[in-house]
Amino acid sequence: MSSLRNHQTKTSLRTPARRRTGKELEALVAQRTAELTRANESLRAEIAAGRRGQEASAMLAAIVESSEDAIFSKTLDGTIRTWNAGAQRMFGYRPEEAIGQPGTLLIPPERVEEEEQVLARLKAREQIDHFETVRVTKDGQRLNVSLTISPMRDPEGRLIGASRIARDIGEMVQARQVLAQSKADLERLVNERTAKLREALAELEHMSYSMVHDMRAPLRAMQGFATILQEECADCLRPAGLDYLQRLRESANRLDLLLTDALQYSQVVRQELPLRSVELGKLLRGMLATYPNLNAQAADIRLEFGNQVVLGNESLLAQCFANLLDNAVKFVPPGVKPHIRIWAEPAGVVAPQAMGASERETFQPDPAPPSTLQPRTVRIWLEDNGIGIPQAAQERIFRMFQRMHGPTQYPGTGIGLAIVRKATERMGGRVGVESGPGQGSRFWIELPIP
Amino acid sequence: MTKYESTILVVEDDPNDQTFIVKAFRDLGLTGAILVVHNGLEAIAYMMGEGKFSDRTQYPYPTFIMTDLKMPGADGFDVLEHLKANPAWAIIPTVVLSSSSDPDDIRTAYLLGASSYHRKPSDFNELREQLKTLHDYWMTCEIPVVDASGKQLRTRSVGKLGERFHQPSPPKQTRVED
Repeated sequence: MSSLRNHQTKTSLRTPARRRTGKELEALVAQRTAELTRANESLRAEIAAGRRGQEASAMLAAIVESSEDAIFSKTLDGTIRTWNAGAQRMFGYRPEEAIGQPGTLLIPPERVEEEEQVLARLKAREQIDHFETVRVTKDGQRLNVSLTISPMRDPEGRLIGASRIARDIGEMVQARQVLAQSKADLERLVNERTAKLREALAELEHMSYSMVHDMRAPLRAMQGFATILQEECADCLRPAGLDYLQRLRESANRLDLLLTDALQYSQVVRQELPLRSVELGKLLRGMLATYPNLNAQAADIRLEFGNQVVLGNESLLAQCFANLLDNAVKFVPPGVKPHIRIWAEPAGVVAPQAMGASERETFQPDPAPPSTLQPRTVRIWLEDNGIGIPQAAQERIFRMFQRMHGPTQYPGTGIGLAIVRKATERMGGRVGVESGPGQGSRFWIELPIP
Repeated sequence: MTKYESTILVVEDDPNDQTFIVKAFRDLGLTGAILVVHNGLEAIAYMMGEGKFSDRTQYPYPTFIMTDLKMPGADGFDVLEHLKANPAWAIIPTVVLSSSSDPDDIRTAYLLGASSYHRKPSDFNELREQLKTLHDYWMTCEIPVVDASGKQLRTRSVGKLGERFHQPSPPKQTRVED
């Protein structure tokens, strides 16, 4: 308006001529009208903007009001300043009951210090997110809540209070408790079962331990007295009687073998075994030199490798090879001298001897997936000229007490190959056989190499 | 080869095994005393000369002890422990003859000072062979001086190589608690 007035003053000073004055006045009026129109429009825009601002605030307020969460604010001294419908629903206080009250209204007595810590953190300009705590409702009920507390500042940036959003997490806390409880239950159950298993194992261990001590004693007595009777009363017994005594001794002997082998098997299952690098050639040559049934007169055994080293346990390996060689020497047709060939090859390569013999059935008990094996393995082959094993039997021979022959034909306990298999598995290896009746057998042991 | 008349103390609870061991020794031609006690407690009482064992003409000190492991009362380990705690008895060759070939049993026996450990063979002939080997071996071994009852005579080793190892008097006998 002041600019219009100035303009008018200037014009009146400048124009004396009438015609000109008339025209200028018209122009002046038009100009003023335009200016007024513009001012009017800008006023309208301002009013509209103000209305939009109000609408926005109203919308925000509605959001706060309709929120499921309790939203309220407190001043710096802790007095409650705002209180939404959610807060009323959650805590039971109407706005007029809550607003103006100290903030400790909602805090259980044992947690009063919490509020001081919260205020201290707020003053340090910290935002507090998802702080899990307990609050009290109007009727004294405890509520598990998650609090998000944000500092509020005036336009100059001064801290004037804090807004608080409280969410009822009762169900979550309950679920969490149920989960923790079931986890604890589960753990207790697992511990109980483990303890029971340990106990059972200890009992088994004790049983097999006592078996040697106690079960062998009467057996030795039977055997011993039969022997003494045979020696000292030979004169007073008829041949049949002596034969009975002999059978008595042999049966006792056999039971002793069974007991000893079964115990050996259980030791292979249980005993702790450190795995080390073992030089196979050295081990086998040592065995051939010391085992009477494996000497050069008894069997022709050729070792076709030099320095094959495997990762295993020496005593277990010795047991494996002793059992395999024992079998190779034992299971030959009558009058045939055992010929045994032992060689090593990288695992997974088909033996050249096996290629032309596809009609032979091959059995491999429970083949372990290759991934469970060490990345580098070696397969040791033992080939014999024995009686061979029909396919039907191949799947059984690695099990306990499985025998294909009567004790008179080929004596044994049926535990040897079970020991081989268990021992090999415990060293992280596998065992298998390729054979057919009358074709000899080729047993193999696959072992990791260091 | 025999340097002295051996006196063998057999600690064994199984009557059959007692028979076998004594018979095997006799079969081998041993004429010396073979004394059998039935468990570890009796063995310890024997060594200490308690009760009837105080008669050393009838129950002389053994030159050789053979013990089973699993026995009621005090077992073979108790016997070893007790013997090795007493300097006069610690030097008596004490071998274990047990049914067990359990590695832990073997280790424990040697730890407690067993002279050797043998598994009872199931065959009587084998037992005889085993005892022969054992007996022959120990009979070639020198033993310290003993008195008439077979008790080790304590001598002073003054001026001798082993002087610095001179043992103090044996401690008051301690009973093994069962």
